[in-house]
Amino acid sequence: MQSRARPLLILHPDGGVRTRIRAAAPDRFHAEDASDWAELRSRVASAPPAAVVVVDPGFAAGALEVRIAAELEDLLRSFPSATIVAALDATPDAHDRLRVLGDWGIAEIVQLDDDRTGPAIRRRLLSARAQSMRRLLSDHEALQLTGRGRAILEASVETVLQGGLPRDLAESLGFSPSTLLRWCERSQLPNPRRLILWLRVIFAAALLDDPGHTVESVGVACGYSGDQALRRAIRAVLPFTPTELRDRGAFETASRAFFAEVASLADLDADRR
Amino acid sequence: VPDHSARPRTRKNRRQWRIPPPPLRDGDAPGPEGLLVLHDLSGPLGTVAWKSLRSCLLWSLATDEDRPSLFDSGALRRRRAELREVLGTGGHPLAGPLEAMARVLGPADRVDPEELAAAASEVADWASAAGLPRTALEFRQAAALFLPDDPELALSVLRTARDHGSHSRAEAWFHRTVGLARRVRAWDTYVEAYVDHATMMGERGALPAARRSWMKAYRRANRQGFAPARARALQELFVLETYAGRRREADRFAREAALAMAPSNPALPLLGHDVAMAWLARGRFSAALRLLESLERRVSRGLRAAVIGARAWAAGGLGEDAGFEDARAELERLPPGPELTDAWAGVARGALLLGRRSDARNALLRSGELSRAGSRDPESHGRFGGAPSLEALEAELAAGAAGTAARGGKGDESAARAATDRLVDLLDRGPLPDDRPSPS
Repeated sequence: MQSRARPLLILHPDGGVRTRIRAAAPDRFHAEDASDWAELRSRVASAPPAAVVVVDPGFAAGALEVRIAAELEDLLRSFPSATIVAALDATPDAHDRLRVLGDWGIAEIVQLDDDRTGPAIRRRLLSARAQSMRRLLSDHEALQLTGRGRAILEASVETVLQGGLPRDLAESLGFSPSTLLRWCERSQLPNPRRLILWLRVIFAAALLDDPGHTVESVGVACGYSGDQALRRAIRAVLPFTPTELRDRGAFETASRAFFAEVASLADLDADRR
Repeated sequence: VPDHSARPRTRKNRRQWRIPPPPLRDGDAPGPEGLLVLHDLSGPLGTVAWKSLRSCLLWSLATDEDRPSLFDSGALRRRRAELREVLGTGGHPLAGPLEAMARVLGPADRVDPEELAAAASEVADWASAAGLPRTALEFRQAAALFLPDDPELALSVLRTARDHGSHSRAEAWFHRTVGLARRVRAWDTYVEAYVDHATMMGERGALPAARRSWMKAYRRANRQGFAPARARALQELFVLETYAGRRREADRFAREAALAMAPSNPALPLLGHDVAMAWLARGRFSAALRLLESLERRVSRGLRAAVIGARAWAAGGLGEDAGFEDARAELERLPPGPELTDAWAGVARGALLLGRRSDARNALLRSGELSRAGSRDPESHGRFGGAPSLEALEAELAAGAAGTAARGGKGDESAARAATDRLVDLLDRGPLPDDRPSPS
């Protein structure tokens, strides 16, 4: 799997806002503007799982009561694993609008009236990345992890998003590779290499579930050379092809298999601290 | 991202404990940070509370280098205007704390994390009192992030998350609390964290995990001389070992718990009841009866019916018809209520042991009626009670009799005797409950 630049797709009518968002994290993102919802949709379809999309929820929304474009709801339904951030003024009277956006699955909100500086916007964008996936992994009932185990899993998600290797994971946690291996053992997680492999497959599985993606586009989006490379990666941990995995509910199947492997490592009598 | 796993700073703290950063969201809390506040609080008040929370989280999670340039120069003025517009000048209870939290938007050198933590805790207290647990949890977390080395604030997040049923978050904050408390040697907080965790795991049925935490709480309380915490841990370990069928260990924990208990400890009647019920289940009827007779003088109205029912069971086990009749008649005189459900099940057990099947059936009928008539008050019965069918009771008693000699070994008779003697002595010496008249 190759490391790829993380796209930041922006759909906002205000040039000043676009500039602010672009300037917020030039080192972390490769920003691209979309001119309308249709263009944004086609770009999201080929974007890697690490991509972040920033939209004005009222873009071309007309005179709707809550001033949220129907195209945004459609985008969220078609690509539920995509990380979509809304950028709008959060004035006191915006309560219903903010709440509806959250309920629809918006990952984060950039409050244009408050988040005016680069560090503030950067933090909003970084906190939104792969949020849904991270939550799913860290809160699954079958996953009885200690606080330490959760920290490793969170950092692993981030490492995989950046196309990193186990040594990068160790570095992000401030450990040596051997300390990371020991922590994984004590937290009853697979070894770092296996953990990274699993998360890559789970990320690909999440994209496979999006109705807007083809198998090939998932392979390319995840940094593989194509659908054959994706097939080989999935086969390393699961007895399915990408199509079979999609038919069974890709994310659910892959994450269940991952949880089963983690559960098989559990030692109930161990002092897990 | 700031390093919340900061290393120890004093010479005393030489061990290199790393504390994982706390998870701030749950699977059931999708969407932007603090979204649950918008669910709890509607209208402009919800929006300004949400914005205040998010500004604080932004500041807490920013690096030291980023903090001075996090907000623009007009941010504080705009927030104050919004607060005035929404909360007015009529002394809204959130006006003070939200105004204090707004200072995070001002000059970085004037931000006082202790003041901000106090303000966030105040909002959390208000939300708890207003029945808004999700808002309380969010602000409690914000307070704990302002002072990330403070184990007491971490403990308060653990408790709020646990009370909200957010177990995964509670467990993560438990680990953080233990790490922070160990780092600064705040052993009272350390013990409380283990007690809270053990209670939570016990309530969820994760008994091995509960036992581990009770054991940790006991050992540290023992080392630091925290008598009430030590007594409580021993009592809970006795209950867990009884559930697990490890009789020898249970008997020893019963003795240790009784020795650790002071006559004035409010948990004494509950320990006496737990021990008496365990003795009954194991056929130690004589010891149980001694305990129950002493206990009856000490228990409040809620537990009294259960004690009388257990007395009927013990009398039945000893073959004492008169004692059984006496207890049953006493139960008849109590006003009916759901707290009598387990008491009548106890009478049924006593009747079966006396071979009075028809009396047992009648007692069970009453138990069932009372159970259906109202919800059961959790404080009105002990942890070994129940209202099963007649056949189930017979099977239980037969299994209990067979198991006395077989399952789990014979137990430690001398420890059990010592526990009984000590508890009877404590109960006879202790104060009467508030709702019972003094004999004099």
